[in-house]
Order: sequence, then C-alpha cells, then structure tokens
Amino acid sequence: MAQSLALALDVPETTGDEGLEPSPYEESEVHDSFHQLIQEQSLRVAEEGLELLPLGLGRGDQTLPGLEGAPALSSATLRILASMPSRTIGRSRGAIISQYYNRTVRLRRRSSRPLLGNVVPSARPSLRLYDLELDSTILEEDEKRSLLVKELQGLSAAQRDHMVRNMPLSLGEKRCLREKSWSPKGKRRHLQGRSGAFSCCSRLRYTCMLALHSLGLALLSGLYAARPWRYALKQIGGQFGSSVLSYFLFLKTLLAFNALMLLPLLAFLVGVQAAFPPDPAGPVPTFSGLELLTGGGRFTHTVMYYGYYSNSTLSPSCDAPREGGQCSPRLGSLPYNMPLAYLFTMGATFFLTCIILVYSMSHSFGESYRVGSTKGIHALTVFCSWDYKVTQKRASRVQQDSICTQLKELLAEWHLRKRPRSVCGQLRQVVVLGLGWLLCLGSTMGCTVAVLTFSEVMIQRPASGGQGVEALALPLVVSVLNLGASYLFRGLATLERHDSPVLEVYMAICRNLILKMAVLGVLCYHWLGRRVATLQGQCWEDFVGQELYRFMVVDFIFMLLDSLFGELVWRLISEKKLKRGQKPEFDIARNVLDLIYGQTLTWLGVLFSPLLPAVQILRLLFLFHIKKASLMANCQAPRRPWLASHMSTVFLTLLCFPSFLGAAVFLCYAVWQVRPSSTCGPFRTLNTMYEAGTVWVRRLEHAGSGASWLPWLHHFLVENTFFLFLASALLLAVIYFNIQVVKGQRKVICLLKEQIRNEGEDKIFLINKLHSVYEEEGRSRPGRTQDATEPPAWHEDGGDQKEPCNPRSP
Amino acid sequence: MFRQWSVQSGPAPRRPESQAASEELWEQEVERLCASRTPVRMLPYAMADKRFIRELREPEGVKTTFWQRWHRPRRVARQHLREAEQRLARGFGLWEGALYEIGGLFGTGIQSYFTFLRFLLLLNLLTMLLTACFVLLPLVWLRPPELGPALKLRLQCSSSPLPQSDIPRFHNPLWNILTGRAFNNTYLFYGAYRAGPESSSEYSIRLAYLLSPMVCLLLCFCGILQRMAEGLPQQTLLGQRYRTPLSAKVFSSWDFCIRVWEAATIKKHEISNELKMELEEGRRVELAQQQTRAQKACRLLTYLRTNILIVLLVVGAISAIFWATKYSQDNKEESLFLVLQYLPPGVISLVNFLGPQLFTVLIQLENYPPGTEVNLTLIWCVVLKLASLGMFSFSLGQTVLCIGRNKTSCESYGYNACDYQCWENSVGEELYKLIIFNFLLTVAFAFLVSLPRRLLVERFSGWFWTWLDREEFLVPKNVLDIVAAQTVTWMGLFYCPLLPLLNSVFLFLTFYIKKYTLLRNSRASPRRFRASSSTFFFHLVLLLGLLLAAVPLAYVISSTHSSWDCGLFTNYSAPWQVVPELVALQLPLPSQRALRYLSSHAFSFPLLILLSIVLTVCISQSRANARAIQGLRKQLVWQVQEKWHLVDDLSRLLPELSPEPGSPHSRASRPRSFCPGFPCPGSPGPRTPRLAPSNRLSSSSLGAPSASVPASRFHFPSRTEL
Repeated sequence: MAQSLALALDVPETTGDEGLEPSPYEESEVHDSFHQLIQEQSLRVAEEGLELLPLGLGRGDQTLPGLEGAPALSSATLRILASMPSRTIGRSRGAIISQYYNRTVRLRRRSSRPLLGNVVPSARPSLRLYDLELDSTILEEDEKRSLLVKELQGLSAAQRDHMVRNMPLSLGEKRCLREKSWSPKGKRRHLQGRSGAFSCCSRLRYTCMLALHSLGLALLSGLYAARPWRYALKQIGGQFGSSVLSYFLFLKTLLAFNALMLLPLLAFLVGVQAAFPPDPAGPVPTFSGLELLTGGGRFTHTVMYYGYYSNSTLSPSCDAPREGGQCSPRLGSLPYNMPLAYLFTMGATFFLTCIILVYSMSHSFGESYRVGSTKGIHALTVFCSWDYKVTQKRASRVQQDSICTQLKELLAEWHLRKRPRSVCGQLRQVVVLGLGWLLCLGSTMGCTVAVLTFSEVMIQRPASGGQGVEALALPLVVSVLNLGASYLFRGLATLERHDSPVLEVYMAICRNLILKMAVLGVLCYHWLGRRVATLQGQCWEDFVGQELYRFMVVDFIFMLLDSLFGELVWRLISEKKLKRGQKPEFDIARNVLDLIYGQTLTWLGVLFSPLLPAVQILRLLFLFHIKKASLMANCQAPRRPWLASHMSTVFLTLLCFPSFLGAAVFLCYAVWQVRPSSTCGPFRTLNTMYEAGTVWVRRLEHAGSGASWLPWLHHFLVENTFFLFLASALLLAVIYFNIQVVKGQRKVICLLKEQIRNEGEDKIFLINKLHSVYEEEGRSRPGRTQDATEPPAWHEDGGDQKEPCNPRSP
Repeated sequence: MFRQWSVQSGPAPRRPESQAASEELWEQEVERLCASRTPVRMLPYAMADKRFIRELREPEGVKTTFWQRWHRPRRVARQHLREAEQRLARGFGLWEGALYEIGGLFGTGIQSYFTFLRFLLLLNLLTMLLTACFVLLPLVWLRPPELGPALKLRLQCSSSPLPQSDIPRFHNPLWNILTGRAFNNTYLFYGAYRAGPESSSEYSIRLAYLLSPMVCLLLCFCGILQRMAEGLPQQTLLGQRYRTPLSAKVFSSWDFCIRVWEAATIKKHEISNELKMELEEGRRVELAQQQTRAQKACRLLTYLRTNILIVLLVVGAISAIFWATKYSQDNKEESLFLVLQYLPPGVISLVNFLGPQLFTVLIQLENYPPGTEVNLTLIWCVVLKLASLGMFSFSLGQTVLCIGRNKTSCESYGYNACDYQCWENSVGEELYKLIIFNFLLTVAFAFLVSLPRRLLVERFSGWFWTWLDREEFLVPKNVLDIVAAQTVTWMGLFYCPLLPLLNSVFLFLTFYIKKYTLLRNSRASPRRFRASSSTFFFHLVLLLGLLLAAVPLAYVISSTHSSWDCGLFTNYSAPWQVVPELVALQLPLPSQRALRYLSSHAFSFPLLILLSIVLTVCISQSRANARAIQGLRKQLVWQVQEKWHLVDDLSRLLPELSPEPGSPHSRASRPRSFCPGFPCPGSPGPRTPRLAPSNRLSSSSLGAPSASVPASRFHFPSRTEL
C-alpha cells in the first residue's frame, strides 16, 4: 500500500499526525487509506466482514506499484500493524475503556474501604480480561463498559470524577459513563427517600453544592485573571514563542524575589525605624533633583541607608531613644533591639531567598532534566520542536523557518561528524578558538585592571563629599566597559564561526559572565578592602550603599540606551537604508545576563541600603514595559533554537550559583570580618556586625532566664565551627550517596534503553516475517485456487481469518 | 567467513534461501558489533569469536595512529593499577580460599559476615600503619630528650588522701595484664608518650599524636562510605514504590556459589520461606486494607505498647550499665575483687546477651509482618548496643571529668585530679578491658558453650536434644559483636594508640574461631538472610559506631584539660591548643590568615550553602532519573505487548495456511498473561504447542526460514529482567 508507505517516509505529514493526534476526520484529509484502516477499527466487526472484501482487493492492487526498494507490506500485514496496541490507544474506545477499567480496579483495591461486597460477583472473573487487543465486538465493548461502570461505582465520588475527567474519550462518552455510574446511588437514595421524588433536603443540598462549586471555579478563574501581566505574557508568547517568553518570566520571578525580600525588611526595619526616628545629627541638605541619580545628598539622612538606623533599643516607653537607650523598659512594653533586628532580619531574608531559590532551581531541574542527551536526535527535532504557545500565523511561519534551520544545522553537524574535518581545518579551528578565548580573557583582564586603576584614582582624589556628577564616573566607566566588551564578544563569536549554535550561546554566556563577575569582584575588593580604610572618619556603609545605588541607576540607563540604539535605531536603519526588512533579533542571553547583574547588585547592597530591593522592583517594572514595547515594535524572534525549559533552568542556576553565592560570601565577609564604622549605623560600638548576636546571647546568659538552652545551643552549635564542619561532612556523605544513586540509575536507564531497542528489533523481525508469509501466500494462491476442494475464503485475505466461523462466498 | 562463528549453532540450514537470510542476519550482527564501542571483553561470545571480533574491529593492515600507539600501554597500565587496587581492597587475597569454602557451604549471607570481618581487619591495620608511621617511628627516631620522672604535683586533695600507700595490693601479673596496669608505662597508653617543648623547625610529635586518630577516623569514614555505596539497596535506585517482581524472586534467587548438597537444601528452604513470606505479606496488606480506622488505631496502639516496653527495657539496661561503671570506678582499689574490675564489661555483655532474646520474644508477641519483625528486632539490638557503649563513655566522663554533676572535685584541675593521676590512662584501661573481655567472651562462648552443646547433641538422642540441636549461626548478632568491638577501638584511639593492633590480632583470631564454630559446631539459620541488602545495613551500623566514637573524642580534644603530669599535652589547657600554637610558630603569615579564614564562620556558612545547593541538584536529578525509569518501563511494557501481538498473529496465520483444517486457535484459549506491571519473561507456556505445528510446517511445506523464530532464534531480551 503506497499511502501507508508514505506514512513511514514522508516526514512532514507524519509530524502533524503524531504531534497533534487529529481526529479521524482530519486525518482522512491527509491520507485516506489510513483513514480506512481506522474506520475498520472503530466499525463493528460484523460490518467489517461485509465491507472488507472489496476494499482489501482494491488495495491489494494498489500495493504492487509505486514502491521503491522498501519492503512492500501487504494490506493484511498493514492491518495487523494498525491494530497493534500502541497505534490504537488513542482511537479505540474498547482499548481505552478496558485500560481504564483495569486502572480503576487497581485504584479501588488500594482504597481502604471494604468494598468487596459491593461488586457483583460477575465482575470478579473479568479481572483477567485486561487485554488491549482491538478486534473486539460490540458485545465485548459493551461488556467492558459495563464492567468499568461497575468499578467506577465502587470508587468514591471524588476519585470517580477525577478518573472520568482524565479519560481520553469524547465528552458524550464521558457523560454517559458518568450518568451510568451515578445512577445506582441515585436509585438507592430514591428507594431510601420517603417520597418518590428527590427529597427537598437533598435537592437543596445539591443546589448548595453546585453553587459552591461554581463559586469556587469563578474564584479560581478570577485569581488566574488577577495574575499580573497575564495578557501581556500571552501576547509575547503567541508572537515570539516560548524562548522570548522565558526572559519575561524570569523577570517576573526576579520581581517576586525582590518583593519577598522587601516585605520583611519593610516590616521589621524600615517601618520601625520610621516610627521612631532618631535625632537629626546635623543640618539636612535640601532636595535637588540630582539625588535621584547619585543617591547621595538628601537620601543619606533617610531610612534608605544603613547610617540612619540607630544602635539602641527602641521601645514605646521612650519617646526619643538616645545613645545607649537608658530608659528602663516598663513592664509589658516590648524593647526592640535595633542592631539585633537588623542582623536577624537580614539573615532571615537571605536564608529565605536561598531556600526559595534552591527549591525553584531543583524544581526546574526536575522539570527540564531529561535523561541522556536529547541533542542531535533527529526524531526529537522533527516531532517535538513545535512551540504550541505560538498563536499567530506570522509567528508560526517564523517558527517553521527556525525549525528548518535547526534541521539543516543538525544535518550539517551530522555530516561533519561522519566526515571529520581535515587536520589542518581542525588546527585552524583550534587556533581561532584559542585566539578568541585569549582575546576575551585579555579584554576581561584589561577591563578589571582599568576598573581597579580608575577606582584607585577615585580614591586618591580628594573626596568632595560625593555630591557632584563625578561620583557617577566609576559606574559610568564600568557600564561602558560592560557594554563595549559584550559587543566585542559578539563580534568575536561571529568571527569564530562555531559549528553548533548551542555551543556558541553557552560560550557567549560564559564569557559575559566571567567579565561581569570579575568586574564585580574587583569592585567588592575596592569597597571592602580600600574604601573602608580610606573612609575612616565617615560612614563607609553609606558610601557603599550609595555606590551600589548609582551602579543600578546607571546600569538601568544603559539598558534603556541599548534598547533604544541597539534595537530601535538598528531597525530603522535596516528598514530604511538597507531595505532588508529584517528586524534585529532579541538577544536573550545578553538580556538575561543584564538582569542577573542587576540582581547581584541588589543583593550586594541590601545590607547597606535596606530599600535597594524597592529600587530594583521599580527598575524591573519599568524594564518590563520598555522591553515589551521595544520587542513588539522592533524585534523578531531569535532564529536560534532555544529550549524554553532548559533555559529557565540555566537562568536560575546562573542566578543561584555565581550571583547569589557570591553575594552571600561578600555579605558574610562583611558581617564577620569587617569592622563597622564607628560614627553611624546600628553597629557603631561593636567590632564586627556579628557581635550584636554574641552580645545578646551573653546578656541572655547573664539574665539566666528560662531560655538558658539558647546560649548553650548557640555555644555548641554556632560558635563552634566543629559542628558546622561535621554537618558539612555529613552533607558530603549524602551527596556522595546521591551521586552513586544517580550513577546506578543511569546504568538502569541504559539497560532499559537497550532492552527497548532489542524489543524493537524483535518487532521489525516479526513484521518482516509476517510480510514474507503473506507474500508466500500470494505466490501460492494461484496454484491453490484451482484446487476446488479448498474453501477459497481462507485465502482471500489473511486479516479476515480472525473469524473462522464466518465463511464467505468468493 | 562466518562459518567459524560458534554462535551459529542449531539445525544447519538446508535451503540456500534460508541460508541467505541467516547470513544477512549475521552480517547485520557483525556490523552492529563492529560499530558498537563496547569492550570485547564484555561481549557474550566464546574466546575465538571474541578474537575474531577484535580482528574485525582493528584489522591488521590498518596502521594505528600515533595517538593509539601511545595510548594503549597507558590504558593497560591503568587497568593493572585498578586491579591492584581491587586486590588491595580485598586484602591481598587474605582468606580467599576460606571465604570461598564458607560461601560454598553456607551461601553468601554468612559469607558476608566474614568479608565484613576482613574489611574491619584491614581498617585496623591501616590505622595501625598510620599511627606507626607518624607517631611511633618518629618517636623512636628522634628520641626526645629524657625528661626524667614526671614532675610530681602537690595535689590539694582535702577529703581523700592518695590511697596507694595503705591498702596492700594484689600483685598478680596476670591480673595486671588483664586490667592493663602492666602496660601503664609502655606505648600502649597515652601516659607514656613524652616530648620536649615545641620548636619552630622540628617534627612535632604532639601534632602527629593529635591528628593521627582524627585522620584515621576520617579514612575509616571514607572507606565505610565507599563500601556502603557499593551495596546501595535497589530501592533507592528504582524509587520507593518499586517492589521486586515475583518472577525475579522465583528465577534469580538461587545462590550459585553453593557447592554442597546440604547448603542447597538450606537454600531451597530459604527460597520457599521467602516466597511464603511474600505471599503472607500480600495477604496482610489486603487484610490491612479491609480494616476500619478504629481497628487500625488499635493496631498502632499495640505496636506503640510493645515499643514503649522495649524503650523501658533499654533505659533500664543503660542505667544498670551506668551504675555498674560508677560502682566499679568508686571501688577501684578494692583489689580483692577481680570481678569488680570487670563489672562494667560484664554488665554490658550481659545486657547485650539478654536484650536481643527479650526483644525477639516481645516483638513476636505482637502481630507484626515478618519482614518488619526481623528489622525491628535488629534495630532495637543496634540501639541497645550503641546506647550501652554511649552510656559507658558518658559515665566514665562523669566520674572522671565531672560532666553533668557538681564540679567541686574538678574545679582546680579541670578533671578529677584527686582520684585519677592520669585520667587518660584510666579511660584507656577501661576500654582495654572492654576489648579483652569481648574477645575472651567470644573464645569462651565458642569452646565452652557451642562445642559441648554439639558434643551432647551428637551423643544423645531424644526429643530434648533434637529440639536443642546445634547452635544457629546468627549473622546479625555476630556482626553486632564485632561492630561493638570496633567502636570501642575507635573510642580508644586517643587514649591507647596501639589498641587497633590489639583489635586486629583479636579479629584475626576471631576469624578462625568463628570459622571453626561455623564449620564444626553450628548449623546455618533457616531464616533468610540476604547478603546484598544486609551489607548496607552492617555498614550503616558501623558508621553509627564511628560517629558515636567521634563525638566524645571531639569533645575531649577540644575542651577538656589533659592530665598535669603525664602524656604529651601536660602544659596545654586542651589538646587542640597545640594546633594554633604550631600554626603560629611554623607557618608563614599568609597561610595563617588563610587557615584562620577557613576555620571561621565566614567560610563555613557559604560552604554549607554550597553543599546544600549541590545536594538539591543531586536529589532533583535522581528524581528525574526515577521518573525516566518509570517512563521507560512503561514503554518497555508496550513494546513487549506489541511483540506478543505480532507473534500471536503470526502463529495464528501459519497453521491456517497449512492444509489441515481446524487448527486450535479459539480466542478463549489465547493466553492473556501479560503481567500488567512488567513484561513477562520469555514466551509463556501455552504458546509452545501452537508454535510447534508451525515449526513443522515451515520446514516441510512452506520453506520459510524457521517460523518459530521468535522463540528459538531470537533470544528475547525481555528475559533479562531488572
């Protein structure tokens, strides 16, 4: 049969077929012969007997021509193949019903109620009926259905609903099943009721239940609708696919992180401090618009920065807590120890962020991680790369293009692998790659050295209070370097001409990340190592907070400029001048890295400026709208294949690993090792910030109150690093075990894959055998038909021999 | 070319057609073999075939590249290295033959005990080696300046004068050896080690003495972890809900190491027991599902009752140990009673002897599922064993270091200086006694209980003697015994550095005693004991013992005052003080700073965060893998079902083509034996008669190449189950 061969060879048609599982009607438009097969399956066997004879003969004629080399399978073989269990699972009701019947039985057996009495005895032997074969009569299907109904009745209502909802059947079928499985209870209630109809009470109850249910549904949908930017995200996903969407989702995640961080800070630090403002130390400068850029000036004397917070115990009994907080706390008043609150709130927010980050990372790992490398498997690319978020025609065309390029690239890579490049070419590639990396590392090095020298110059210069624009010099330099280097890297990547696009993307990410982390490391050194020493008399924490604020503002401005010039102007140029009609691509990697950079800045600065997350939230809100507008107007979807699920994992990992961990190390260093400035802030009298906790614990110990276990616990578990190292050793042991488990699982997976492959070979072998048997039969038929004694019906069509008690005339 | 393939056995193909088909098949196979990268050693073929495959893969004529020529010797060398490493891990073939013999006679379950023993012996020897290399040899080599007699402190002990002067002592060399007093001034105990003050250039014996126990513990920890990972139970690999299929139990539970008839009988019993247990468990699960909530609550309550009773017993036992230790320490100089000296070890042994019996009885009273019963008894035994050891060390600490009681007697010196001149030596003596007693008990039990019992049972007949029978060799009890001894050894690493040597000697002897007992005096337990799952458990218990030993050691090293007039650390407030002093003395400034940072919170907290992140990644990965395994298994089931569908069709077709009418193919007789959860092994039984006519048919009339191919030619891979 030629058409069914097309099923095997003609890829595009199968793509739609496999991916979408069209209804038989749609499929009939694609190729009708398979449609016939499906019809045969769903039709009753009695009809089949009448109908098949001409069909089979006609098809048998079609089979012989039109085959190029491939084994021509006869129609009977094809019918058997079509009725194989995996082909029919979506189409045959009988199979589905029997499968679900089986599942229901298992579920009911697991459920705890003693239900054995409920089931009619006739249902028992049917347990053996688990069979997915398709040549079922109406009788059988009906029987199965009735069995299923009986089993469904045995389940509780919730389980039954769930079960019925999940079945891959048509709505009418489901409704029928549901009604049938509901009815006996209704009948029972009917019998139990005093009057013939439903009792008033039960009807009322039903109405109430229904109303509650619909209310719940409405609330749920309302909640769903109330999620921010729902429409905008849908629009982006529809127009640009899920890869671009993942950038915006990441942005939303960052927003959530910042909000979560901001809330405790607002509640325990900012709000309390704002309620009990300290005495103004000196004249407060007036507000001039420049503060928005530099973060200094008026802002210094607000809750924005570390220096404003008092180091005393705040309590309602004292109207104005002074240095040392002398007034004795009255009975019932709650003394609020500001240094302790500062330390604990910061620690708690970081801990919370860490937990959520790690959890979401592991979650996304579980979602996206698939066993074995799926890269380079052609079947996956062909069948599973369609992005179902896309809704518009234009976008779908773009996606078709991208899949096409992807396939081309895959094939090219395959060819390359089959025919390895010459030694000379490889050498050249290696040299180019090495040169590229050398250049990148060199430029990174240059950038860091430049930042270092520039910061030294800034330190040498007599500080004029940091008022003017010159405070913005360092952030400007850093941003310019960042931008320039990223463009340089992009240019280098185009020069290098990588074979695989994925490698190129990862390399770009890697290079940019190295650059940014190196610059940030140098800056951290600059702040904690150099600035602390030079700003002896002043409040260095305020200075660092302002510096980070400036960095964020300047970075934001540069992002705006980048989207203005890199996207808008470039589009105008390419449309007007070059007439190419090609819009610039949306560079996901670079944008995401920018986001991560901004988030790192926030985390670094939150200790010195508790309101920095609020600034970041504002920044992100603006950014979302601007990027969206720019994307809609100027950009097109990237041509590179991006797996959205993988990408979110990569983003979260990058956010977690260098960014969060680096910030945590920085803050730990600042809290444990650096001496806080002695003129401002909550820790002004202490040696390190961490001492606030120690002092408190010691005071508790002296007080000797009921919480005496706390100092003990603190002494043994926290102060003693031995226990921390012991915990690390245990964690290491558990990690080791998990790694071993993963290894073992890999082995198991390999075994299973091999087994499946072997089974597939068995199947191929059997199919060939089947085919050869039919061929044999076809060859021997002419000889046999002359034999009058033989009933000819046996040899007409092999597939019909399933019903031997159905002799037909030729 | 293919003639030499021994695999191509079976009926010689007569027709050229079929020959061609098979040739084609084998060509494919050869192609596959050549393409695949699996090492030739792993292929399931005969030696000659393997050689042939290797030739096919690397023909002679093709010149090997320079890289390959350079690479191959390295690979071979690495392989040799790995083999040597494995041999080392197996103890240089120590007791190889004896182990084989035991495995053959009694199965792998009992063999695992002896392997475990050998592993412990290796650990002890390793520890000994380290101590000798880093402490003893330098001590002999450097020969520290003789300090003369230790400076005698004038102790202000108001209440009790030093007792040695008045009471006449019972001087018996044997007694002295048994209590360890004879070795008080040898390198066996802490007190005999002496060294001059630290200088900036010399090798520091103090540091070596301090660090070598810790390094040993660390090494043992790593070794145990590694062995544990080898024996990871299957469940962790395949997810919690995975249960071994019954078919695996039926087909793959035979122990092929067995060589003797009796062992085979035992194994048969074992397998039947296991199957019974499985069925019993299944019935139990069904019963439990039928229970109402109240019944369930009732059952849980009874379980709780038993466990509370056991907890009370354990607490009683522990307090008995506590009082015994205290009593024996208080009456230390009542020299007349050797019994008193051995009171704590005796009580510990008694408790550990009686406890398990009681637990078994108590747990059998309740209606536990059989698997749970065994596990629960074991767990309680472990708890008792480790808790008694822990209690012992705690009570020692209380008497010596005044932990957890009024500190009047310890105030001036940091330890109970009036009663203990050199408290480390006393603690070392206690541990020494414990080990000696443990070994003596083993010997006595072997020769005074098991041997007479065997003799009596062999001599007499009668229902009592039949009931008594030989002693059962219980693996868990024996394992717990040697684990306890090992824990004591680890506890004493700091106080008597040569204890591992003693323990290794004892272990060496124990091996032969136990082997003798096993071969001559006892019978294998009929209860099932599986080597694969038990190994993990044994090592887990060992790990717990290690932790139990490490915690007091860490406490002592970090925060107690060592004795004033004996040992290496006389001038230090705590032994650990040596490390900062030496760091300040010998290391340059940057590395000092680095070390200080490494030991501070600023390093350990990020480290913890990093480790937990890595752990989450690992866990999520293993979860994803488990999900993938589930999916693959489902897919496998589908594949197998499809295959049988095809086989069915084929086998239904073939007889119909044959001239004889009325071949048996009624649908009702079709086997529907697809196990819903797992592929069936091989072809099911009813299939064979139907395949038989087709076979005959194929060879006679049709001439198709062996129509029964699915069963005969193709070894169905689904036969190898997971």
